Amino acid sequence: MKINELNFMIGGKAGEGIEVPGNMFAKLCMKAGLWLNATREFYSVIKGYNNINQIRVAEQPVKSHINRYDLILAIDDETVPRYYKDVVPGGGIIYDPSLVSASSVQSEVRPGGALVYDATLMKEALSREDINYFPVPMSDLAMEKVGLKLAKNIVGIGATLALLDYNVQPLLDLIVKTFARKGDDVVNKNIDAAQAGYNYAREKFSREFNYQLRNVKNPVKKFFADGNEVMVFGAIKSGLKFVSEYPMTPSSSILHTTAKYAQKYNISVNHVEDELSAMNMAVGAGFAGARSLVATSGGGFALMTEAVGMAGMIEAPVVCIECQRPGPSSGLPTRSGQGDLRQVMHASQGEFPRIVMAPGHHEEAFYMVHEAFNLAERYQCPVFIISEKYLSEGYATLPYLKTDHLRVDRGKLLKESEIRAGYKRYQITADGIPPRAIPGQKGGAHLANTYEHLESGYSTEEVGHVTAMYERRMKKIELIEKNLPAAELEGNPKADFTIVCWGGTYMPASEAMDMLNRDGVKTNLLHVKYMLPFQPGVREILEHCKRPVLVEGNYTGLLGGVIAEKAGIDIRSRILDYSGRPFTPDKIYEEIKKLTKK
Amino acid sequence: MLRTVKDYTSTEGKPNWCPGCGDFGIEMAMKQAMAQLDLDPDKVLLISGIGCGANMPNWFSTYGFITLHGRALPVATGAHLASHELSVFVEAGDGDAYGIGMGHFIHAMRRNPNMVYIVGNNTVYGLTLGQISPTAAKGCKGPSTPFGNPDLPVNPIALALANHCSFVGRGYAGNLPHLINLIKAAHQHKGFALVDVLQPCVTYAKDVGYKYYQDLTYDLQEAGHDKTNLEAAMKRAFEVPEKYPIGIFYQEERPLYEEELPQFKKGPLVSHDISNVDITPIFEEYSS
Ligand SMILES: Cc1ncc(C[n+]2csc(CCOP(=O)(O)OP(=O)(O)O)c2C)c(N)n1
Ligand code: SF4
Ligand SMILES: [Mg+2]
Repeated sequence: MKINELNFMIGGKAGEGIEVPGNMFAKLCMKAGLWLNATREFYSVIKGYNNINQIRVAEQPVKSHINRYDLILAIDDETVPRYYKDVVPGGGIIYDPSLVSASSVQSEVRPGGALVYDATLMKEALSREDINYFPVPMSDLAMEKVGLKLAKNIVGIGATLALLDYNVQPLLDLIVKTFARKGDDVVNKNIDAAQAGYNYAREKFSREFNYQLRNVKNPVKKFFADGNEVMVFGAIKSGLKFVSEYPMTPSSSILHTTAKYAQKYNISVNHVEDELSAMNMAVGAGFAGARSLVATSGGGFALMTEAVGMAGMIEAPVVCIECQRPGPSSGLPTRSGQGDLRQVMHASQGEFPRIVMAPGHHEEAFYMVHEAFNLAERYQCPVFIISEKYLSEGYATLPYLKTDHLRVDRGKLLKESEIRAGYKRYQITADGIPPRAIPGQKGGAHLANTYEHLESGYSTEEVGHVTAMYERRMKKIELIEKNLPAAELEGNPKADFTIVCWGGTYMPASEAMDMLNRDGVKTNLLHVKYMLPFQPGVREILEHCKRPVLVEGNYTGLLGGVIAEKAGIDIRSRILDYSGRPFTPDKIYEEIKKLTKK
Repeated sequence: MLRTVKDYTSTEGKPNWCPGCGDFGIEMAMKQAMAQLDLDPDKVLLISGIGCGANMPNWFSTYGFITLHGRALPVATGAHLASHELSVFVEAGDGDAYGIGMGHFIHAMRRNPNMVYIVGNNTVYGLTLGQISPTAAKGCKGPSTPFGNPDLPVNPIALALANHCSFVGRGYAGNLPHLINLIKAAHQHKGFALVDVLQPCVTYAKDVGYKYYQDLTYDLQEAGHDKTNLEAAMKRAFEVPEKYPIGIFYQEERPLYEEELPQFKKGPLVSHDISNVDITPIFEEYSS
């Protein structure tokens, strides 16, 4: 019997609403005191096409998703033939016999998405000896009890809880809460649907399944959010005042979440005409003294490019979150990848200080975004957080994050009383950072100028002035670098393999490291968090590693290139994936196992 | 003591426009308007794009920001929303405003932030050596159109009238008293105010110089135009190029962008205390 350790997946068609039951299941698990990690794989299509929602729960924090399922709830016809092989021995599949049977065939062939299946495949899909099949007439029960086919999801969740031998009451309570706004009728129908699924599975398959959910005693207080939401929380904590964004998957929920809290936290949140406007506005707001944020994906970021340089030149603080999806161009809008590193590092003409960093998991993302706003003001430069769909739209439970130690550091932003006569905004200072006044302050008037300028901001082309200003600006880079936290090696320092990764790949990589070590393959991990300026300590660590293995979600090994350039070390072993799907721990594990045989 | 032009003038240097350039008139009119309005230079923010006219902030002693070609409006909007009690003036060329930055112009009019948008309309790209701008007449010759401009000109006034611009004005750089008053009226207007300024470029647009406008401009208000009548304004907008009406085409009271949002009620966003924001309620919300 497996208790409180379950990798659950709901599969259904876009538009059938696999979101709601997925969320409900996740919340029930959180309420039971469990930890979870949840991720969705979906097509960039609003209706049709098979989408999945993967929810992995345990009594300990869950590092990553995996693609081996303990239980699948198949709401549509396609999930079973697509994923039956991925169920672990002893696992199970709940399916609707009216949609899935040995005689089903996929008749309507939609290119680019639908799975084509025939009777042979279906027969195979329904006849694995080592797993359990739980036919539940979800559509019929939904029609019968509620008169609404769409309620089959809720029937399914009811059945799931019965199989897991968990109480139905928390689900009913959650239904009341979730649908209260829609009125009593909707609430009651959904309660009936949940109860029907629960009763059906209880009667037909009592105690057949080897997995159970149970309430944990004295659980830690937790919340459940995706990476974008967590990053917004970090931004709000740091005093976010201004957001300008143009929607682009997978960054849009940053706009939605900030908009939701705009009035409560007094933030100006603007859905603007395009990304040109978004970045230019944010730079304007940052220049004027508001902590400002933009978020986008690679395509939108391309449009922001010119204004990135403007922020660098006039030394305005601004924070940009770039949520990667696979490219080039429109690429795969709803999938994950890590192909934009160089774009973010090098966007805009000329040279200027900027900070580029990438968090590896949700908690780190929260603190990193908070830190980003401080860095932007301390060094008066644009700061970039690179995320990817996997982190941005992937969910995790987190403990209430500690914030007591967090400070808002506004660097050399002057109080009005500190502004002296003859104030110069772009003064040549010893550390390269000039004193900053903001519009409206008495005695602080100055010119912010995208042309090269004197200390006052006035345009200049004279050689002496140009080089002095250029050097003063660039000097900030050394200072930033000196103050970055050094890279750290995770795990046994004497390992045979060192996984080298960045961004959200950290999550599966970290679990892969544990799997390998359990299996006797000594492995440790280097997660590079700062790409620009390059994080100190990477070279020193890699020099002592027996065999570094680069793991990245792109074709050319972009971080590998940066490491070669900045640390002078060429990592030859590479595990690269550009399929648009995030790494699983299994894949990294298997690839490194192969390396042990070479 | 009343303020004078000197209070708005930088001590760093003098404008480097071609002698006789209409930008001198615009600069002087802006400074005169600011002085007559008695604006505190530390509360004025002058934001420009890129071009001859957009070099303007160099010669002001107020807060200034020379941004990017075409992007003055979004930068100004961001700065304004961050600190909405500032007096924001935006200066752009016709290439800036009606070419590369046209999208922002249209959306700013919808948004109606409180600022004055002064566009130096000289029918050319002065700074890049005289190519035609989007307001140049069909047939105009320039280095990029040696056989004549194949395109019809943009009508910025009609465009603004059709796009909810709450103050639509046109001035002429050769009529200083009129331009000063127009800029003052634009600043006193609550909302987004367009002031398109007929600006002779004496180097590259010799055909549309002082002589040309002197004969063809006339004062709308003197002519009895009713600035609350959108239809009449639209008619006047289409008098070009036979006649160039100057003055206020249209003015409308509309709530400001920032007035309709509670975020701005507690004073400018930059003045809010951000030292200890409590986000525990968010964690609570996401935990159930
Ligand atoms: C993105 C970009 N494209 C092109 C330029 C080159 N450029 C500078 S000013 C200008 C045109 C200026 O014309 P206008 O806005 O009418 O101003 P004017 O010089 O006539 O006052 C151009 C094309 C630039 N600075 N940035
Ligand atoms: S080129 Fe034309 S617009 Fe530019 S400064 Fe000379 S006269 Fe003025
Ligand atoms: Mg021009």
